[in-house]
Amino acid sequence: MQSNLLPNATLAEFYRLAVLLTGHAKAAERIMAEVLGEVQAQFEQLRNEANRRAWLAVRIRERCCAERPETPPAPGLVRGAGEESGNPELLQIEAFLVGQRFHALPEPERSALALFHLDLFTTAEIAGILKLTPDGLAETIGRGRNLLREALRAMRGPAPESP
Amino acid sequence: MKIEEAERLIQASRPGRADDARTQKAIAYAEGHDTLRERLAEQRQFDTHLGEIIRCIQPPEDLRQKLAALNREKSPARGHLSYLAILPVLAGVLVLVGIAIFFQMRNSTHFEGREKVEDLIEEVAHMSGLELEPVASNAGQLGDWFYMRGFEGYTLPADLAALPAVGSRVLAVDGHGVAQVAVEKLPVVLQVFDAAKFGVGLEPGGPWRVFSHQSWAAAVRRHGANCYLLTLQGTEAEMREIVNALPKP
Repeated sequence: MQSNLLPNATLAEFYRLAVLLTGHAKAAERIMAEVLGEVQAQFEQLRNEANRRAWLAVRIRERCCAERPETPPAPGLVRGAGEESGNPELLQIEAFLVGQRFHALPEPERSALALFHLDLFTTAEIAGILKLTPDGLAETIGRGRNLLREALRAMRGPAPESP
Repeated sequence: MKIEEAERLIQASRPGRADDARTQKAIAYAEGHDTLRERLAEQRQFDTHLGEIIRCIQPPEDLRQKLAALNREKSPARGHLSYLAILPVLAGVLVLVGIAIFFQMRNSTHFEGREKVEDLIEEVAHMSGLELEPVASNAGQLGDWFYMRGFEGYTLPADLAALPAVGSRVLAVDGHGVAQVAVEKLPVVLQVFDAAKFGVGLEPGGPWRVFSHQSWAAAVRRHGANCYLLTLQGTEAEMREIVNALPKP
């Protein structure tokens, strides 16, 4: 089992990637198990750690893209971007809600934004994984960010009227 | 730097991390520009917020165990390769057969055009894996795939055709096409090339020639006009286990 070759922090980042791309923890676990099992032979051929991570990211992304369940309706977010951090329990709820919206983004915006926010790759490496130019990646991240911002804004509903 | 370029590049600026030189220039430009400065501040606020939320996605504490359990459930038994663990014992018996077989094997690894084959082994040694395009079919079903990419005459003998392919590409070596296939669940890359174009003088229908090159082991044989080269990072013994486990044609 190749998960033994990954440090805890890296394994956790790949888990987050799979959750963001599928929107489901169970699906993320299943896809990770499948990919880690299947790439075992290829992993042995990749001596460079960055190449191993890139290979894993490519395979996890492929699997996640292959299954995109319908986005369930989600209630509004707990707080907006400018508001103070909530307590840890609220953050967990927000994480769930963001995951619900995140996986509904189109490709390659969804993958670009997910990889951008994880501690796995430099932007140059992300561009390589997604086969984009650096400028193309920047535009894709920008589009993804705008789409997610709009989706989250729609979840939060209209701003309360001031008295 | 033009405003359009700065506007585009700042979108890839990551909060709390070093940006590349172009993005740093774009940020410096944006910070001196009223509209872009405001946009960058909003972007950083959003990204920081989103990053904080994403960090809250925590894997279950027993993730490794869960993955191992799921993997055991999903994966069929390792198949016929698992019993090949006994083959080293067989290899030990072979040693007892004596020096005659040793010399026969040694001679079998010398053939016309071996240096070209070694070049192809080095091509694999320099791969990261990302050069390959993902595919999901048996290696024998990739004839059209390779034809569409300019490699004509891709055919596989029966023992190789059933191998599950996970990635493929066509590369040009000395101006001649080589079809590469990464095989799923085996640590090998299969390469197919025209024997005559590469000057490889193996006899058609002959046995696998297993040999080492640097830290790599290879098995090559000819079938019709094509040569078939299997490459893995490992020993000749490991390669022999693999070729012996291929279905007999």
